[in-house]
Amino acid sequence: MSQGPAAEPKQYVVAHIRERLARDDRVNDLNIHVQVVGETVFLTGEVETAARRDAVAEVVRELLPDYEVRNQVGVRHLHPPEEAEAL
Amino acid sequence: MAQVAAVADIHFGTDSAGSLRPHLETLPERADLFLLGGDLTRHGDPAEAAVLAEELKDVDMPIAAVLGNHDYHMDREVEIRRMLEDVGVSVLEGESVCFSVHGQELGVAGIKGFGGGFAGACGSDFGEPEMKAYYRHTERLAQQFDEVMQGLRCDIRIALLHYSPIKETLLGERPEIYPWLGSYLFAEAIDRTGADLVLHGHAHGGTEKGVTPGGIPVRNVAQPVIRRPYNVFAIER
Repeated sequence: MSQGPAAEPKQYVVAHIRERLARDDRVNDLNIHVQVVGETVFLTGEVETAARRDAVAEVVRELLPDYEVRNQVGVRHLHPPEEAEAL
Repeated sequence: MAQVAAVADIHFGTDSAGSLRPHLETLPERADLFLLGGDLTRHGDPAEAAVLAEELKDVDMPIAAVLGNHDYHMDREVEIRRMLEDVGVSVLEGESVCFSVHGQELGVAGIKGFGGGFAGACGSDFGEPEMKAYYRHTERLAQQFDEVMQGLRCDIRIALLHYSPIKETLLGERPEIYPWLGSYLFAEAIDRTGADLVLHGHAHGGTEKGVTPGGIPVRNVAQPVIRRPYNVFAIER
C-alpha cells in the first residue's frame, strides 16, 4: 500500500484488507468484519479455530505494518440441537 | 417420518481433523440422512477434502452433498468430488439421489447454484460478454435444476443448494452483495416443481428461516448461522 495511515481514505483500507483476507490462503475468509478507526484496525466475526483467528491478525499486520491491529475475532463453539424442527 | 440433518459452510482445512466426527458418532440415532450444503473446504484444496473424507468415512447413514464456491477456488473440484464419493458421499451437481427411509422414498436434488440476484434487483443477459456470461451461467444452472427437480419422483423431495434461492434468508448480509449470494431463478424452478424443504448455505451473515414465493420452507444451514454442527428437520408426508 502506497499511502500511510493519515493519507488513505478508510473505505479503501477496509476494502484492501477484506480482499487480502479473502485471497490469502492462511485465511480465505470473506466474512471477517473490518473497521478502521484512525490508525487502528478492528477485526470482528468468528472463525472455526484459534489458529485461524490468529492468522487473520497476522495477515492484516503484514499488509498494514503502520496500523495497530485489534483482533476481536472469536472462535465458534458448536453444540448439537436439542430437538428436530418439525416441518 | 424422515429426519434429515444438514449443515453447510463447514470450511474444512488441514487443521480440522476431529472437529466433525465426534458429532457424527451419534447422528445416526437422530437422523436418517446427512446433507452438506457446500463450502466443505477452506479453499478447494484436495488436502482439505482428504481430512473431511476421513471424518465422513464409515458414518452409518447416507450422506449427500453439494459443493460451494470455496470448493472451486483451486480449480480442483473434480478431485474433491471424487474423494468424497470414494467414502460413500453422494455429491450432486445438477443431479439427484433417492434413499429409502422408513418405507418412503426420500429424494434429494442438489446443485451448487450461482449468483445473479433476486426478482426486481437482479442481473440480466445483457451488456458486456462478461456480464452476459455471468448471468447465462446462472440461467443454465437453474434450467438444469428445473429438469432434475422435474425428474425427482419421491415421496419426500428436498432441494439442496449452496447459493440461496431466496433473499429472505440473506437478511443480515449487506444488501449490496445479495446478487453474489444467490438467484431467484432457483426458487422459481423449485416452486414450479414442488419440494418439502430447501436447504442452502453461503450466506454466513444471513438468517436461518424463510420460504420461497410459493411457500416452500427454506433453511439457511450455513454453520455460522445455525451455530451448531448440524440442524435436524423432521418431515412427515
